[in-house]
Amino acid sequence: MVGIAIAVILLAFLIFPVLKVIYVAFQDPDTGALTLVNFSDFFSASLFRESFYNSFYVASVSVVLATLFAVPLAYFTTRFNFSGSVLIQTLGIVPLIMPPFVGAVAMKLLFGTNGSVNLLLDEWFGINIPFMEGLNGVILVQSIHYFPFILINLSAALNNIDRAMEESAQNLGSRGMRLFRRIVFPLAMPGYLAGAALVFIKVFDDLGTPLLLDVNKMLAPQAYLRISSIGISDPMGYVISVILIAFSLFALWTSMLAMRGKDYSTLQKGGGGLAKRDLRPWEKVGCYAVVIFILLLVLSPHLGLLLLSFGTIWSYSVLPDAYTLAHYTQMLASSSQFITNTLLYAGLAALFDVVIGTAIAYIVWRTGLPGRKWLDYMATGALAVPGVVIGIGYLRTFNDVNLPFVDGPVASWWFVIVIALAIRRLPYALRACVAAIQQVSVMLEEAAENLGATTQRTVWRITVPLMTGGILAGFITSFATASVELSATIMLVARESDAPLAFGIYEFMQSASGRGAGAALGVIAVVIVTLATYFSHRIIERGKQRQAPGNVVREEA
Amino acid sequence: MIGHLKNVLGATLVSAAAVLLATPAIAADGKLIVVTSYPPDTTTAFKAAFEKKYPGVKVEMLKKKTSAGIKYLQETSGNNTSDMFWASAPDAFEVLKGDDLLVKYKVKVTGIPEKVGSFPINDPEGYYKGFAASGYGIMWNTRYLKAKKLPVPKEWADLKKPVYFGHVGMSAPSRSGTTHLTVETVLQGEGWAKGWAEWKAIAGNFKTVTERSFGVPDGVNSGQFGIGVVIDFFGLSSKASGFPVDFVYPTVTTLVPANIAIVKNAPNQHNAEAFIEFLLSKEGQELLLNPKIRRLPVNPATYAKAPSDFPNPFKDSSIGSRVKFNLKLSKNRYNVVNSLFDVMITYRIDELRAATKAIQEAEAAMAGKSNAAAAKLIADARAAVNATPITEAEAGEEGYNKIFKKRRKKASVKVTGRQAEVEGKWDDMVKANYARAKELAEKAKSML
Amino acid sequence: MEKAIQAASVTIENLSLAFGTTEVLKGVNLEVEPGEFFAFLGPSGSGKSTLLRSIAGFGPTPRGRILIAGKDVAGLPPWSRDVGMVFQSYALWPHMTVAQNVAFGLEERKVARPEINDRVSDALALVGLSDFAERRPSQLSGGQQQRVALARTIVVRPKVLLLDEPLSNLDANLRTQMRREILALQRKLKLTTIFVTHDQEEANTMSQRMAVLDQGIIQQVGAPMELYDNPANTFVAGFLENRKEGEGACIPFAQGHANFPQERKSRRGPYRHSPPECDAHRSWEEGIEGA
Repeated sequence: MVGIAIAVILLAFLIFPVLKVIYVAFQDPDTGALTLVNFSDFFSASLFRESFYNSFYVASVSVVLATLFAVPLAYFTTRFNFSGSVLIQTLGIVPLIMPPFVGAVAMKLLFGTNGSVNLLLDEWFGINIPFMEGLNGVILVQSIHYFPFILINLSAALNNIDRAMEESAQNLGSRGMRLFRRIVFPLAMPGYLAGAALVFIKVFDDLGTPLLLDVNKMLAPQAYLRISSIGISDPMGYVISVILIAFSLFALWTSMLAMRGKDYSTLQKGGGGLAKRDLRPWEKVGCYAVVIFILLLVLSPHLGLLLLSFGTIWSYSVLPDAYTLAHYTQMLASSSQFITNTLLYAGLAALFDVVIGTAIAYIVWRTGLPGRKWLDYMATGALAVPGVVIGIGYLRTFNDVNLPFVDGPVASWWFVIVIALAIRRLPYALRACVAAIQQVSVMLEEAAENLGATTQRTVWRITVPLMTGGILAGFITSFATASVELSATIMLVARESDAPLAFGIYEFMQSASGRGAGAALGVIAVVIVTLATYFSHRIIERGKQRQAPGNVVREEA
Repeated sequence: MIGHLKNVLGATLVSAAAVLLATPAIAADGKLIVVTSYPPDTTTAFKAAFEKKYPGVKVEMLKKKTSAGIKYLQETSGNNTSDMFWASAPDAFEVLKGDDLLVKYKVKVTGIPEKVGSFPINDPEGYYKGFAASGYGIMWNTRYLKAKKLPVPKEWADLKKPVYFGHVGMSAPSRSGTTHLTVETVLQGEGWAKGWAEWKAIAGNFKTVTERSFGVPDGVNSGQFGIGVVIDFFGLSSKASGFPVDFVYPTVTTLVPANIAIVKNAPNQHNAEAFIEFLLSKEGQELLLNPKIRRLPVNPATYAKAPSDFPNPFKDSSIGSRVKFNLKLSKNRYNVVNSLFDVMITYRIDELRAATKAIQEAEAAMAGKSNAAAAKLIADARAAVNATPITEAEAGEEGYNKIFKKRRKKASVKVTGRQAEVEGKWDDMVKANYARAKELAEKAKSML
Repeated sequence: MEKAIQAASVTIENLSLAFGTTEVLKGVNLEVEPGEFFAFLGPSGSGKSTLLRSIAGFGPTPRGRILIAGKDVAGLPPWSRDVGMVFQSYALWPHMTVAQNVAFGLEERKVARPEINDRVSDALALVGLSDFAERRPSQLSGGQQQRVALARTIVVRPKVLLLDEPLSNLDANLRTQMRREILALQRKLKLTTIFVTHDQEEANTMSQRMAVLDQGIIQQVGAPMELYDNPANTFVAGFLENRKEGEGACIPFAQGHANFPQERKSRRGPYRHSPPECDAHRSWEEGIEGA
């Protein structure tokens, strides 16, 4: 019953709109007949081929750059006794909770041709480095924004490596880089790949950042521009959408193939995570230098945003001319609606995500329902659907649908934004819920049933409480990322009073006097989401401690 | 948000009641949903003032880029929820009028003249009304120009000079209604071929083509590039916000009214009418003088309250009187011009820049020398850059334009060719031409 | 393995180690003879594993001296000690085949490729796994994994072989068999071998001499029978006595020390399954004969 309900929801709000988009891509724009002519137009146009190449190039190089940021942070904090490891790990995740386009604005001011860094470089050395020129800018902003995906996954993988794996190699004479290259990195590979695939897909599909950096020769911006400036019936937008989806699915599939049979972390029993080693003083200096450099770089959008929100005029200068609180008063006077909307939308979306995620996890791992794996595949497939495509698909699907209690078409109802956010973030929450249910011993549930609890009572009183940590983790990830999402919402917001934060910032940033206020709103957004994330983490930690006996039982099982 | 839902429900009931009672006077209640391309500085000021005057009415501003706003009204026309369209570019209103998405309205306020500059303020057919005037011009960052030791540009032609290579920014006409008007003005003023040549010569100096019209003042304000082609209020309001920038109207510019219209089947027509009257009233016009808004009022009397440096098109005839703007011509080829600009400039800006650089260098090397062969090569290079894929006649042809209009309501409408296919062919030609121009110019330089 | 390995002595002098404020080893002194099969026996948390790991160079640096073949190795990192260690979990690298696992140490020692190939196949033959060279560890049974781990360690010809709870992850039948195999191998290679166990049965049947540890202190050192006959104190007596009193008593101390995390996993280990072996008190010589 629940399974069918979830399947219906996924079909209605994910599969159907996407199919609708795919269908249009195969329609002759003149006659409406099925055809491949749109695809042949796509591949014969050098503009689209270049866009495809650029998207691929940007996504690939972003993965490389994100790896360079993530590997040292993950490695140092998991391998060495490093004061501030927790702080570093936390700060390392902060870039994720920043609307990427806001980051782009701040990065332009800091790293642009005439940004702070280049002004200084020019003054000192007479050089100018094109950090933000064209595709470079997209790569830099994207890799900074998305590298936490690699950091989180790689850190988890490194923590899960049996200490004896490394010690036995040392015992056989291996050390240093060779040890890392031959033993540690291959063992952490599955975690790394999972993160890298996510970064690739996200960058490949992202719209906001290239748009804000005036880079249009990429696939997602081309799709958006075709739809927004030529019209919703131009087939090219749909063709590009199909190509985006196909490519993302392909990337997901390849990473799954590469990872198949390589879930090393659970293979070995006994032994804790990697041994942490003390650093020699000079090593410590080196490591801290690297860590501080990386953190400065990845937090520079936040730094820039902060300066922008307090600065009066910042124009062709290293720092703002003076500082003021005026932007905050201006912002607070008109933006409380954006904040409440965001909390409501992201909160509701995250709530749906964990409810559906828990249900799917339970159905897949605890029941024998036929086709249950497909629920998982469908929900995870949402990863491969770009926000633009969801936006287009919803407009296309729900514009002619009316509900009695909704003022206007369903596509312009605020709740549709919630649904879009929920569908987009479902894969994150689902993975957390699946991880959680895998850690709950079936024996615990059997014990409850043996004592007379029905299945429903058991789920409610045993399974879900034991999954709390994972469910909350899923909630946070969904909430934090949904609250800064723009690409799907920008197409679905029908009136200003329904607009979430990201949209509000975007709007502020459209006027000369609104730049500071927009930055102030951005700072507020980051602070709210960071606090929400931090407190939920605290709750999870407390929950974990409370459940310590449960963990022992699990290990025995 | 349940409260919000209630508001919506409540508002619907109230406005329904208002219609039922058929009050002839202005409705004092309900909602007003305005689709607008204007920045929050403008919209919030008018929203606040209007709501203060009519306390029962709640105004909602739905921000869309002009082109996106047109698409939005077209897509939702079957189930319209918007009351008004409020934007600058008159040709955007022409497009909506052509699609039968607007209704006529007769203004009650008096004192508004027929024309500003050479442009009629109101739609002669009465569908949309001008409430302010805007002109196009050049804004620049004073710190930037000083640091790079660049002269201040005064005319469009200045922007073609090699000294500005890599320092200019502009938006694309397909993204910004105001930019479209700028492009069209030059095309009409200089003629099709010469007009495009002019634009390409300027675009060769571009640092970037921004995705949004506001991207240009934003870039100039922050110093990402020094000079921008913008609509006046962007320049003036940036200056008013304290940025080290300035703005000038070149001699050849059009002054066009910024407009407002009521959408067909508007749910709150009475409120929409009240809003138009308010915009044109004395208080509404004076709001335009606010330094953050800075638009030119259409009521000449309002200028008495303006600061002394405020341009007055009703007195200063040098502003926007040179070009007689042909709205019909603009409307007919609206999509083709947008598409051509994107294919020749936006998406090929790197190639165009490379060719321009090569030509500028060859010309610099040529200075003071006489070398007929090299001069010929340079001229050929220029010609290759300037070539357009289609003629003016083709661009204005109705059948050709159909390819670019994708309102496929009836399958019986026969169109030969698909937009993507046509654009693909243009692109191949443009790309090859720019590459050839670069080659020719480099060859010329090597001969000098 | 034709070439016999040069057996080395292990001398531990006044070794102390603390984790934070917890003293784990308190002045340990010990002499293991070249070629000897030696056991560290003690309950959970007695410090026996820590002592073994210190010899291999893992964990925090202890105070005191560790001499291998007369050479102080205290300051040396694990990779320079030439001490072979077989881990309780075997620690076979899942991304390498059996042959790659075994070849690893030789590659790190920059041995020439042809020699590596020869030595790897010799080592695999020695543990009876010649046919499994191209398998992945996940495709092997527990006993086979144990043998790969052994082969991987002895192929580099270490001076000393360390075995950390070598039998704890195997079921009862396999354990008896592996016990014999390990003894035979040690006999053949004449390798100084130290193994850690909390199962006195294992210590009795396998070791020539053993050290009983409790609370970081060596309580007594000697041949198994010596310790039974003349326990030095009540702890040794109690610890060894228990096993004489029937099967149930084979579970002597573990529960009281369950809060030591590094020992917790091993609770699924031998004492749960050990009863069939409890009364099979065989001596070291008997064990060899059996093999």
